[in-house]
Amino acid sequence: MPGLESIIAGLRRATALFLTVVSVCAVSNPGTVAAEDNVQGEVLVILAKAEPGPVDPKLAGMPALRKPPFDGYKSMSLLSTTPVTLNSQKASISDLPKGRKLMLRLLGNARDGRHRVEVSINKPGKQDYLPLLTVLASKEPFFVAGQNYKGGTLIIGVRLTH
Amino acid sequence: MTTHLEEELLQRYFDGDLGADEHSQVASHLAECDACAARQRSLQALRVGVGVLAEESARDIDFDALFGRIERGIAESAPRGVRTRTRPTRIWLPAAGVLAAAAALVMFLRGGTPPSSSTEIEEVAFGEWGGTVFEVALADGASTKVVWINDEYEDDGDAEVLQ
Repeated sequence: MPGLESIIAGLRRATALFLTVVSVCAVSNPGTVAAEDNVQGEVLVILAKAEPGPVDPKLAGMPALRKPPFDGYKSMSLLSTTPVTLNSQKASISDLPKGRKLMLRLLGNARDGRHRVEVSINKPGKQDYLPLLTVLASKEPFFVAGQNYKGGTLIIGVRLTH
Repeated sequence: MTTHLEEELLQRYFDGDLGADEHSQVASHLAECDACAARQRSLQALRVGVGVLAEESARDIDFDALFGRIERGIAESAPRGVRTRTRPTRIWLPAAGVLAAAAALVMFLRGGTPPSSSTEIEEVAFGEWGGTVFEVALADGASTKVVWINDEYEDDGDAEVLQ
């Protein structure tokens, strides 16, 4: 039958492409594996102000702080750096200014090396934590910001180092 | 005493919906109040970010080149002796297969699985606080996230909302 070979060849090619797509999807899906190991990290509390002033040299390795929405701040001071250890068994709780607490809990480790972390903050004097975020965190720090403090804005940075 | 702009008022200012008097009043406040100025910058950054993202998404896909490659692929896949055939109906099935696979690939790429060097927000629940999530592009295609919480009123005992 004329053209049958070309149809078969085309189907073969389409099948190969389809399998390629499926393979790429499968490889790219971060998935989640059990959180067996501890993950080390640190919580940085930064006070950013619009007034010109120094930027703490310890923040030089965080280019995100020089980009929107942070680029309007002309000075930044590092108020605290708290090392944290995350695992699925126990939440890590860090003190924040104004009596708040930041809770981090490891939900799992993605196959691509990232970590799935639950982030929540409680209100001063209250026991309940607002389940704020589920983050698929790489080695790049992520930030929670917006609280007024001492004439500036608090920026909470979370950096997972391992 | 600290006075902050109401969210709706700031949004209307940002959208250019205020009358001259209100506009002037809000502008004066923004010149004095760092917190409200920061919120306004956040709105600006969000608008710019959305625009850039849409533009980049459209720009990143070269449809002409894509369909050119598909056509070349179809031509190369035809067995010898068939290449000179002119009846288009002979290739509809493989072409459809290739197009479907290519479309799936394009949709997948456009949907964009972020690189593993990027930090992603999978779920966010601001609750009564309200807030915005910003994406910050970094080097080598990586990105991270900034979660901006609108909670500046809560702890300021002397704060009130400008009506």
